[in-house]
Parts: sequence; C-alpha cells; structure tokens
Amino acid sequence: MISTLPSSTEPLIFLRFRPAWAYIDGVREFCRFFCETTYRQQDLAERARVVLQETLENAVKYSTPGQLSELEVEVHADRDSFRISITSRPDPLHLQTLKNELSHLTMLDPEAAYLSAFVRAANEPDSPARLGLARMRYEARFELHLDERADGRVRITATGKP
Amino acid sequence: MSNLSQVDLPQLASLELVITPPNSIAMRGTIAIPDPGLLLGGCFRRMHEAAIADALRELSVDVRQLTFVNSSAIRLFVDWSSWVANAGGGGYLLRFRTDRRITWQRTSFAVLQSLGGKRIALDVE
Repeated sequence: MISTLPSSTEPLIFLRFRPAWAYIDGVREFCRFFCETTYRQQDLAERARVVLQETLENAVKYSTPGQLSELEVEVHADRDSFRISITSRPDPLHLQTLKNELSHLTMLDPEAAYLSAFVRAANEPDSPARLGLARMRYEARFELHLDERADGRVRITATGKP
Repeated sequence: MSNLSQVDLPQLASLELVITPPNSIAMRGTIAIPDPGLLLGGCFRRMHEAAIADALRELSVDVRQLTFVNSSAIRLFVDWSSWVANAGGGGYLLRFRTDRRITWQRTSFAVLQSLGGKRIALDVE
C-alpha cells in the first residue's frame, strides 16, 4: 500500500458531478485504477468497480431532475475498512423502494439474497432486474447502509474489507 | 443454413458478439449501458429460439472475454437460463464457458446454474 495516504477522516477520493450516465464509465474506471494502484490488490479494485457501477447507475437513474441535482462520490479507507459513499437527491418514490429493498436484503445472507434476487428476476421478466444491491453484497462483499439527510439528500455507504 | 447463423446481431461499441455455427456463441468486451434489455434482449431471445429451431442438443456461450457487465446485463443471462429451464422436451443444454479470474463470472454463473438446474452447464477455466 502507498504510505502517504491522508488520515482516515479525509476521503481518498471526492468527486461531485451532475447525475449523467455519460460520467459513470469514467468515474468507475478511475476509482478502479486508483484502488489497483494504491492497494495493489486487483480483487479490491474489481469489487470497488462493481460497487461504483451499481451505486452510480441507481443514483443517475433515480435522481430528481433540476439544478440542485448532483452526485458526490467519496472513497474512504483505513486499516480495517474500505468505504464508498454516493450521495444523491433521489425521487421520493424511489427512496421508499430502496429502503424496502435494503431491509429485505439484510434479512438474508449475501449468497441467499443474490439467489433470491435471481429467482425474482426470472419470475418477473417484465420488471426491472433489481439485482444490483444484492450483487454488491455477494459479489463485491460490501455491506450497505443508507442515511437520509434533512435537505432531502440520501447517502448510500458501501463498506467492505480492504 | 442454420437458424442460429442467421440471427441479426446488434451493434454495440463495447461488445463483440460472434456466432460460430452450428452451436457456438462468443461475447467479448463489456456491457454497462443503461438498458441492455432493449438493445440485446431481443437478440438473446432469437438466439435461444434459433437453438430450438435447429434442434441443438447443446449451445456453447463463451463469455470468458466479457470482462465487465452491469446487473441489468446479468439479467439477460438470468432470462436466458429461465427460458432454457422452462423449454420442456425440445430444449437444449446451455453451456457457459467462464473464467474464474473474472469476478462477475465466478459469482453470477454459479448462482445461475442453481437456478437453471440440469439445463445449465458451466465450464470454468
């Protein structure tokens, strides 16, 4: 690991941008590159890549349109944990769906939740896939936490082992 | 000429899809577009229907060089596995060739196999 990392209270990465699909590939690949270069762990870089893709997709798809709409990406790390946070201003209807989905997911272990999401997707071919959150827990091995803020913004934090 | 070889393939900058008759398909690149079902779902369905029309006993889908996908793209493989699992007596064995070093393949195809039962086979390299 590179030894000149900032203290754990400062993000290693902080990005703020408009919620546009066109930015997802670039942000995801930059973060993957950063993790691979800093930690020299391809596994962590790939896991971060999955988390970035899925969280950014959700944030872009469901952000409230308008001038106030923006996304913030933060990456924090210390010896014991690696955290990726995405802050956005989601559509209120989506927020409730997201809370329900997270609540359902945490009742199952990551593998069972991923299998359950596959079964649901197979049984509901005309509905959205809704595999992303379960994928982050099982494939990327990150746990998810949601914080609502008074100003209507929401932060999803994915926490995993470095 | 086989039905499979006549399936029209969509144009997507990040993805190369190659059909090699009589029963092989290879995918290379990435799928991380907003709604892959719109662009690729019909193609996947036509490949499935062509395999049945060609009375194939087995269809090989090589994804070893499909290095990254979003979860909406994983859904395409869920749908395909579901079609095969529910195809009845006229169905075929859907054999995915995967690379264990690629994270999404290692995790998702093992789960897919449990969903598709005996109609799904995995070759893991």
